[in-house]
Amino acid sequence: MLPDWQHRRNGFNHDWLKNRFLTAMSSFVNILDDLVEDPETELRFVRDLLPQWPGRAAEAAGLIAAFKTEMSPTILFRQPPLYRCGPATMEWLPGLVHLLWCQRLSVNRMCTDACRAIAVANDSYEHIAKALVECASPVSVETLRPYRDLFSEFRAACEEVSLSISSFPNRIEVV
Amino acid sequence: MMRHNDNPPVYTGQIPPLPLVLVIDDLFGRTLPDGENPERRDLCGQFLLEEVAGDGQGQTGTQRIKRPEAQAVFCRGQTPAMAAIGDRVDNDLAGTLAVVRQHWHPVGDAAPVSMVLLDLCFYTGVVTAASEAKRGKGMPEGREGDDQTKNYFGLRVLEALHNHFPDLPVVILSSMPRAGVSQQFSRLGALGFLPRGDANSPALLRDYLGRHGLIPDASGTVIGNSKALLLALRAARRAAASRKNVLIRGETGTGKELLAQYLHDQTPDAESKPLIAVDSGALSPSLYASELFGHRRGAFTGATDDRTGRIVQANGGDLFLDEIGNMPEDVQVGLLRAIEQKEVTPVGATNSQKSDVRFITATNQDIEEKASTGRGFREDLYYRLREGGVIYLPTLKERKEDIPLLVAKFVRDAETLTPGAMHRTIDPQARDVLLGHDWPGNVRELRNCIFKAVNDHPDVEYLSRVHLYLPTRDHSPSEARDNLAVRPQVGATSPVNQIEELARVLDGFDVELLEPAGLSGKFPAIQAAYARLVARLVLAAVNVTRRPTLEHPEGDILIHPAMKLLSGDKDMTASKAADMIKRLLKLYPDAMQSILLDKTLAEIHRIAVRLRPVGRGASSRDRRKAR
Repeated sequence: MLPDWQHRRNGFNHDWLKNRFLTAMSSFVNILDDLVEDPETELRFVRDLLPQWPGRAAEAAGLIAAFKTEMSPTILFRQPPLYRCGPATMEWLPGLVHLLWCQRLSVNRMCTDACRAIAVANDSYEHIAKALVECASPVSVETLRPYRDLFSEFRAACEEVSLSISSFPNRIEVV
Repeated sequence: MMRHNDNPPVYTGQIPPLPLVLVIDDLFGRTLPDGENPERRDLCGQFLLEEVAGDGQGQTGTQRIKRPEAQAVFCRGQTPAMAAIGDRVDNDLAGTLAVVRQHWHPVGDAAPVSMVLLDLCFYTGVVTAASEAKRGKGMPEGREGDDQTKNYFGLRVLEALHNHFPDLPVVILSSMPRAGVSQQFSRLGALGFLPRGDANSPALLRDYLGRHGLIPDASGTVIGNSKALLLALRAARRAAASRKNVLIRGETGTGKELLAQYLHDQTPDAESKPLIAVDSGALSPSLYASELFGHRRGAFTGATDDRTGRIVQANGGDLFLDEIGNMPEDVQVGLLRAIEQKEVTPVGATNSQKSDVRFITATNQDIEEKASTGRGFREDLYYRLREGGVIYLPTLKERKEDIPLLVAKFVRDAETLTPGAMHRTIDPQARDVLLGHDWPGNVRELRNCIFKAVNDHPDVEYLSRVHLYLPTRDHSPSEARDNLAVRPQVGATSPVNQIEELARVLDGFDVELLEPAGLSGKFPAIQAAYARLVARLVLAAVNVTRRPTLEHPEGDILIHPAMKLLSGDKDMTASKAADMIKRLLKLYPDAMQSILLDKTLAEIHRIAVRLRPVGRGASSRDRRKAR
């Protein structure tokens, strides 16, 4: 059975970020590059998906914050057979296991890298949000075309977020 | 079973403009009731795919891909393809295989799907408002284990595809991490992994299609959509990626030189690199070394100037050597040196020249046998020539589904080259006759047949079966449809049948397609007369192609142009001409002695035997003598 954290990661990284958000953004960048014409729904990404980023970025940050507690092998001490360990052992062993796990998997570095990736993506998003405010009204592919590189940078930043979140282990690693 | 389009794209008589990919994916393959799947639209926009069919209702709306990388059809891999809240979605292996089969074995002359892009994780279960909000409209909530590697439905589909369609190119298209499944998908025959979130997706897809896809030659150099041919084209594209030498194996007339051209064209920066073709069969042994390596002035009688050899001319590019099996052994030594040390020494020179060439060689001979027994071909050279792989070109009999495409092309070519020829349609009966024939001379024989039909009947709007001169009896349409390549029975029983047989053989007379078996043992006197008639044709062809010289005012005998004239074969070579002469003069062995009483015919025969002591048309005694 997959830990709940894994389900949540799949929901964010697989179902939303890669399958929907990045796919739609890549398609939109191709529209800006004039490789694709899509007169009916060309702004769907900007109107429907792009505004979801702040909420989803917070979800991603929450995932990273929860990783240490939800995916640490210390939770095995709450399940059989380790839950049978005596109180004296419980006082020191889970903490040691957690420490070893953090060191061996470089958990702090993984979390820091992922948080940094999210921060970079957030900055990139802010640039786009600002550009959208400054953009001539009404918003159209033509008026957004000068900001093409901002979208491309945001896409690259989101890919980094996806990669960093993918790098977390997909099961509870025993040390 | 899942809903799916009953009318897949059919490209009758046309080379498809783009490769066709089949995407098997729950999210992108699903059908939505309002007629548009936004995720599919985004995927097409990202990978530059042009949706052509799939679930029968285009789901990408008004989207237009300006320079598509491929066309795409979609399949959900689940049932129902169109699900709404409250519906239960289940994986459908049998239905998925049926869709794949439909596109892998298309009806008629349509090209098979070039590649399958297969998702890994398919969510099942009930569609709820929450699941739609989470994953998209029509997507279910997912059952426990759907997203676990060991349960991936995509891997089950992959295993089934590997078992049912082993040649089908499959690439994984997933947003799941590659690392967790790389061993499984490699073991089950997937050729690669396309990550969904990658910004370079179109380039990656193009790269994968080039390396793994079964793609017809859009340039029209090599015509055909059959899997046997597409596999050869893929092998050529893969070989083109490196600079290693390539050996092409295939029967006479299968198009080895065209494949070499295709391979060269697929090479990176091909337009800036030379492709030099040498028809080794047209070279006498004495000229072979000079042609390949060049010579210095005075190196031999007639060497009045320095001459750059073909290997140096091809420096930086490709050298195509046909009929490599006939290469004299001393030339083989020089060629081995040219490959190993990348330098050649012209005949009569003391210094060598550097030349970096990829050798594309071709043969219709059993060169492995020659190399392994050491008879006529060096084993070390053989291995050097096949370092980049051996490509097997199928016979026309093995790719009969390409006949309609080839016929359409040859008819158009022949109409263009025949002054005043009318534009014509191919009659279904003629098509059946062409499909029912064995084509021992392969594509060249088919081309000759069509060109003769157009040339002889320029003023008609239909290519009919009566215009086709085939040496065997026609096949019934049902036989043709079943692709039964039955050879005619020669043992006609009644005199009337025998005369009809004789008339058919004489009517279908064509020097290049000649098959005397139709007369064998029935009419000795007529057969002898027939052989003398053929001999007189050979003599006439030689006489009109003679070239007077000071020493021989009546003209040298030149068998190569003579046989080219007689057969109309533009690809005629000296060795082919020699084989042809030997065959034609030996049509009826009992008449041969009297035929060779003619001084010129005897000389023609002597030249042919000298040029080709062994080869098509040589007797076993000739072969023993040659050894």
